[in-house]
Order: sequence, then structure tokens, then C-alpha cells
Amino acid sequence: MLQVFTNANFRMMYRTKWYFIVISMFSILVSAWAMVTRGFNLGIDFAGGTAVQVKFLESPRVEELRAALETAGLGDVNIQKIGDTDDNEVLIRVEQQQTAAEGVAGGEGGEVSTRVLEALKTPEERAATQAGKIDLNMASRSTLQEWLGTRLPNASEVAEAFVRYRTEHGGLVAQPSEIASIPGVTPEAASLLTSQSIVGSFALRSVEFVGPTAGRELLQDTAWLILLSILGILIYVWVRFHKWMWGVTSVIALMHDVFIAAGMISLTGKEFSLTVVAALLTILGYSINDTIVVFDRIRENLRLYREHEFEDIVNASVNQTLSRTMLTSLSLLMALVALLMFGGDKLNPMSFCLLVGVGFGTYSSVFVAAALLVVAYRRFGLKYVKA
Amino acid sequence: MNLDIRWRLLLTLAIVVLSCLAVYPPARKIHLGLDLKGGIHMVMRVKTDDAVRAEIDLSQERIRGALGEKGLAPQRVAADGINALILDGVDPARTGEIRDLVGRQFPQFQITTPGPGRLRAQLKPADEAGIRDSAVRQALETIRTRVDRFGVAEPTIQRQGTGAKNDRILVQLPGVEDPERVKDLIGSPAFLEWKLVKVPPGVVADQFRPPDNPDSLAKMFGGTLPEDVEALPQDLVGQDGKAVQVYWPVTKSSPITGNDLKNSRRDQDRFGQPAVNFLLTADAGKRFQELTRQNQGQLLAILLDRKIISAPRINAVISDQGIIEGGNFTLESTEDLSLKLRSGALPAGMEVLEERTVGPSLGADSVRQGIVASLIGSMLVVLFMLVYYRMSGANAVFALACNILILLAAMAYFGSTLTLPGIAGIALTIGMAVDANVLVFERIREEMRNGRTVKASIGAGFEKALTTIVDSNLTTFIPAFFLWAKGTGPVKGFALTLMVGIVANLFTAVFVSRTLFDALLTLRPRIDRLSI
Repeated sequence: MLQVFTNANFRMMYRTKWYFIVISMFSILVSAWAMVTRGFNLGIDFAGGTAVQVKFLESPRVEELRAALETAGLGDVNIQKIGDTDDNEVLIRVEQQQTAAEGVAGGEGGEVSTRVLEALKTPEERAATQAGKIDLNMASRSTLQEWLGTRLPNASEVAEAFVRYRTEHGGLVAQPSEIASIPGVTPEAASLLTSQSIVGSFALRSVEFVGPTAGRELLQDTAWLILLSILGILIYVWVRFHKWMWGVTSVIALMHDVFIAAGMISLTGKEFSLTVVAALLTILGYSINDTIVVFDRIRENLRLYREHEFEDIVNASVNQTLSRTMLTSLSLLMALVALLMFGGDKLNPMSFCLLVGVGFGTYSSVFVAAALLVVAYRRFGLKYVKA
Repeated sequence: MNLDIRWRLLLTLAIVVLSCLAVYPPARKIHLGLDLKGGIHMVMRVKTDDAVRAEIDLSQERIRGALGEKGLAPQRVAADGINALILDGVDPARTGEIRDLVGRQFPQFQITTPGPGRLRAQLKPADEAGIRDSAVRQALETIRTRVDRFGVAEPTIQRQGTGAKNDRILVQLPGVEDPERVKDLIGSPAFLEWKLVKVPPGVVADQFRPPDNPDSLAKMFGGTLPEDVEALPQDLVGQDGKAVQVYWPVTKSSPITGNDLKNSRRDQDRFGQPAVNFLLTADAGKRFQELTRQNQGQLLAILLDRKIISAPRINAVISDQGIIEGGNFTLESTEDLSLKLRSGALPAGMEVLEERTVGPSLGADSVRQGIVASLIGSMLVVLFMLVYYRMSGANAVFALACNILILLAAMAYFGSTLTLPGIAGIALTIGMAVDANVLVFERIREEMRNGRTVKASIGAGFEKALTTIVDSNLTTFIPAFFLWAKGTGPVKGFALTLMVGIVANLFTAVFVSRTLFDALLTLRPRIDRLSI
């Protein structure tokens, strides 16, 4: 039988606890420092503006792109390579534009993204498009179908087959000569497309636009969400354990975790997006889950061993649940590491945040929640009366 | 006991089978969110202020007209704020008469007398709210019409928001990948156009009969149409009741378009037939006046969606208002048309608050990455449980598999969408799900160390761990619930998978896992060692 910490008897709740309290204070200070001095790299959800993700055929030269976008008068542009180097993907962020364009239907968002895409095109591509050629990497299914529709009988099948091929190949066709080999594209269609098309240097992966009001409202909603969750948990623990002090210590522990997780997001400069908010809320849930397992054991032991010192009981409870605490967080950490490593760019900030939160959540349920409970009982001379 | 276990095994089996049925085939049953299958998500705000302003503009003309007929015309009628009109220079002796008249004919206004010779007509709050509300409904209707015409499968077009935010419209178009085009389609007000008809040389405008195909039209011009002329169709109903199309030669440029519309309403022509009236902006009114003055006797085509509705002869100088007639209008169609024109008549009517477009290739990549990450994560967890708990680990792994299966089945059954963060939620559920098993198994080990029999240990393990499992799951549920209730889009999907995962977990870790242990105990009643 494989075992860890089965008969653990670490003296964690005595003088040692102060070391951990110091560690926690230190982590909190670092997080607070990061949040105050560095702030958050607010994602498009919160900051508003436009983000355009494009994938190039060849490794993009960021400086050239920047120059092209600046020439187009797009102002404050942030270009970032994302994914692996051979993905050739960049994310272009344009800050909120203070123009009067707002008002036209489809207004600002569409306008900015269109301008970005237009600016990224090479002069040859622009000339070809003006000459009525179709860009194989930018044309959507419906555009392609209509373009073919005026020239071929089976336009919809050809468009379908071509787009499927393109989607399977990362959204990009490298050469017009590839077309002939795509199953479902008839020879006539292939020769028509090969002669009347160009292969653009990039494909559009995604466009995001968030207006200023939406971002502001979202920030408010987020603050409410976290507050409500904490309140809900506080009330639940209070009711469940009949003692407000237990509720307060567990809430301190979870605020500790969420605060540090948020601090680490700030410190690493990862994008603070809606999914990170979801991660922070999940940490709330996980942290309290862990704390409750320890508290449940303390309550059980308090009933069994009335004559023991409070510290001894808490220490024994923490030790008894230690193997479970470690195993659960280990299995969770494994799932999260997989998510962080293989889950792709979009989930990266979320997975990272969860990883930090779960790590600290495990630590805090023992060294913050339980330790604070001991401190509180010493300090205020509280006595646990049988619930 | 025996019977009891048989029933429990049967129930477990039934749930597994039902879940499999609900999920199979996954490609059809699991609805992927827009971030996974690609598509456009847009939240738009209808600027209802414009609708109120337009109503005031229209009323301004009408009140002036109505009072003019009775010889009561005030010197000046002007808008006051967005929802009121000021009538200046009213004959003080006839104020009461005017009040009565306006009050009777325009019941939506509340009339006050701020000073001598002055009247103020303000929209009643209920009417104003009604105008705002119908503006949003009209925008919704227009978008729906346009999206339908575009031919999007399973679009979502909904009104969103409550209270002061009830002016929002959510548009989700799965599988549509070019945002520019869709935005143009949804947002573009270029519905209506006026174009001069360029009759072929030597033909009198009044006697021109458009042919039923563009080639014959070209022949009338001697083979090719002039450079600035194009052939556009008109849908007609022939004498035999069949639909026919005729082609008109019209200018390529459109001097006046729907962009120049200020307002439009259902109306009647002079024969009492349904028609639609329109009001142009001041600037366009001047251009219209110029156009009609210079082209007296010619035909002016009115086009909707590049199809000619009618091409009446210009008999008089028209400035900023007129009527669209002919075109086989019915009551409903004029209502629909004026409704479409009205939302087109609000060129500043829509504001995009949020737009997200995900290309299909990015969505496909996300699905692949999400599945790979979840599979690797679950393999690690499975391996870990098997190494650490041996046969009991296998029990936990079975419970875990059931958990994920039930989670997917519930999502398929309720038709909820799986988003990218939702996949993260599943990965997280995999990591969390074994928690309950670990709690139970550690308890069982503890009991066995204290010298209890296998059977007693299993019973005590499950019983003692139960409160903890319920407590910890419920508290995890609280933030997930708030996130689900208040969150939007992908994040809502994450919260949902988390919540369903928690409930499924309670069932599998407590009921399914226990059933398997009890089945083992029944098969081998005198078991004295448990592989745990």
C-alpha cells in the first residue's frame, strides 16, 4: 500500500505557525506591490478596444507590421507574437479610438479591424484584390461561393471543400497549386481559382471588439460577483459551523488565495481577462473546499476529545487530513499542468491563475485558516461549545 | 441486501446507458460555442434617443400642417430637447383652441403653456417608453430579416438586458466567418435608393416598357448599356398571376438613398391603396428638390434591395417628403417596409458594444488543444489513482468516467453549449472529482488501520466522509452559481460545466463508488484484505 503522511504528526500549529503567517504576509505584500506598481494587463474584455489575431504564412516581422499600422493612422498599436514561433501568429491590439465614427451601424469595431487588415496587406495583394482576384486565405465561405457562383455551376460544393481543407490546414493555403489536390474541387474550379486568385500572406483568426461601456460594466459586475461569492461562502460556513469566527477565518484564507493569485497575474503581466475572473472565482470555491475538509475534522475531533487543548486538536486534525489535502491538490495540479502546457494560448492565463490559486489554496487551508483559528482562540479566549 | 445491490447496479448501468445515448453521436449532440466552432458574436445597442427624436420631427411637420389647415399656424414650431416641441408665436386668444386640436389629433403629447403665445408639447412618458421599446423591437426585426436573408443556420438574435439596458440586441451567427460582411448586412441602412431611369435613346419616358431580360434591354441601347447605366430588376405579377421580372435601365449612382431618410410610416396613396411615406433629411430634401426640378417628366425609380419598387414620372418638384406607392403593397407589407425603412432611417441607430469573431481554423485548433489537454490531464489522474489506490483506484476511475459522461450527457440534454473555458471546466472537474474518492478512501484506510473489518471500514469510510463531501461541494457550488447567473458567453459555459460537474460528482463518488464496493462485498463476503 502506497501511503503519504499516513501517521503524520508534524507540529504545525504551535510556534511554527508564525513562520507560515510571515510567509503569507510576505506573499500578500509582494502581490499588493505588484498590483499597485504594475497594475493589470487588462484584456480586451475590460479595457475595450479592438484585437485582431492573424496568422501569417511566413514568420512575421513585427517592426514592419507596426510601421504599416502606424502609417494607416491606427495610433496606439500593440503587436504581440503568440503561440509557438512556427505558428506565425500575432495579436494586434488597438486601443479605444476617440473618433466620431461611433454611430454608424457596425461602427467602430468593424471599422478598426477592417483598417488593420487593410494595412497588413502587401501592395501586390491590394493590387490583385482591386483587379478582382480573390484572396484564398481571406475569403470566407460565402464570399467564395458567391464569387464562384457567377462562374461555375457547383460553386457551393467547391467552396465547402476548399474551406474544409483550409480549416484543416490551420486556416492557410500556402500556394495556389495546392488547390488542384484538394478532394472535392473540380479541375475546372481548380484552374479557375489558380488563375484568378492570389494567396494572401495571412489569414484572419479572430476579431474582438469591446466598446468602452461594455468594459466598464463588466468590471463592476466582476467586483460584485466576487463580493457576492465571498458573502455566500461566509454565510454558509457560519451557519454550518455555528461560529462566526470559523466563517471569518476561512474567508480570510480564501481572500488570501485569491489576492495572491491575482497578484501573480499582475506580477507576470498575463492578460487579465474574463476567464481569469472565472479562475479567481473557482479558486474561491476550491480554497473553501479545502478549508472545510480541515474544519470538519477539527469539529469532529473537538467532540471526541473535549479535554484536549485546542491547539493539539487542531494540530492533530491538520495532520489527519494532510494526506487527503496533498492527494487532492496533487491530482488537481496534474490536471492543471496539463491544461497549462497543452491547452493553448487562450487558456494560458486562466490555467496559470488556477495553478497558483490551487497551490496557495492547499497551503492556506492548513497554514492560514487553521493557524488563524488557533490564534483567534488564544487571543480572544473563545471556547468551542458543542454545536 | 442482495436485491438492493442488484437494483443499485442496475440504476448505475441505466444511467450510464442513458448518458451514452444522450451524448452519442457527440458531434451532433454536444453544441459547441462560437469560440470553438467559429462564428460571430455581437452585442449592439439601439440608440433609442434617435427614435424619439424622429417621432418629434415627424410630429413637428404634422402639427404644423394640421394647425395650418385651420389657419392656426404658429410662427415657429421647433424641437425642445429630444422629446418635446415648442410652438411659438401662437395667437394668445386662440391658445385654447390649439390646445384642444393638438390634444385631440396628437394624443401622445402632453400640452402645457409656459408663457403667453407659447405652447409646449411633450411626449407622455408612457408613449416615449413605447417609442423606445418599439425602436428596439424594430431593430431586432430588421436584423432578423436581414440575417434570414443572409441564410445563416441557427442564428441567435435576441433582445438582451433589463431596465435601462433593455436596448441591447445580441446576435450570434455560428459558422459565419467574415465579420465585415455581416456587420454590413446587419448594420447597413442602405436599403432604399432613388435612381433616375435612363430610357433608351428615341423612347419617350412615358412610353418606355421595360423588357423581361437584361439582354433585350441592352439591345434597345444598341448592344451595350451606357457606362453609367445598369439593368436592375423589378418583380411584377403578370396577368396570369405568375411572377415575372422586368429590367429597368437606371443610373449606377443613387442620388438619394435610405441613408437620407429621416422617418417613414405606413400610409395610403390617393386611391386609398396601402403605401409608405417618407421624410428626408433637410440636406437630402434640397438635393431631392434639385433632382426633381432638373428632371421633370422623367422617371425616377425607387429601389429596395437593388430591386425596383416603382418608377413614377416626376410631375412636380418634391422636396423632403413623399410617398412610395405601387409595388403591389399590402397593409402588412407596407407595415413591414416602413418598419424596415424606419430602422434604416436611423443611420446612427446602432452602436456595437461588443463583437467577437472566431475563424473556423482557430476554433478547430482550440477544440484540439482543449481535448488534448483534458485527455492528458485525465490520464495523469487515472494513472495516479491506480498506482496509489490499486483496485480501489480502479473503482474511483470508473466513478470519474461516469462523472464526465453524466456531465456531457447533461450538457447535451439541456442543449447547453460547450465553450473553450467550458473545456477547462471539464479538465478542472476531472482533477476535482477524485477529491471525494480520496476523502472516502483515506477514511477507509484510517478505519482499517484502527483494526476494523473491511466491511465495517467501507461503511464507516463513506458515512464519515459524507458531510465533508457535501460541505465542500456545496461551497464550491456557490461561486460557480454566481458566475453562471451573472456571467456571459464563454464564462457562463465554464460555470455551467463546473456546476453540473459538481452535482454529477456527488452522485458518482458517493452512490456509484459505494455500489461497486458493496457489490464486491456481496461477491466475496469474507474478504479480509481490500486493495486500497
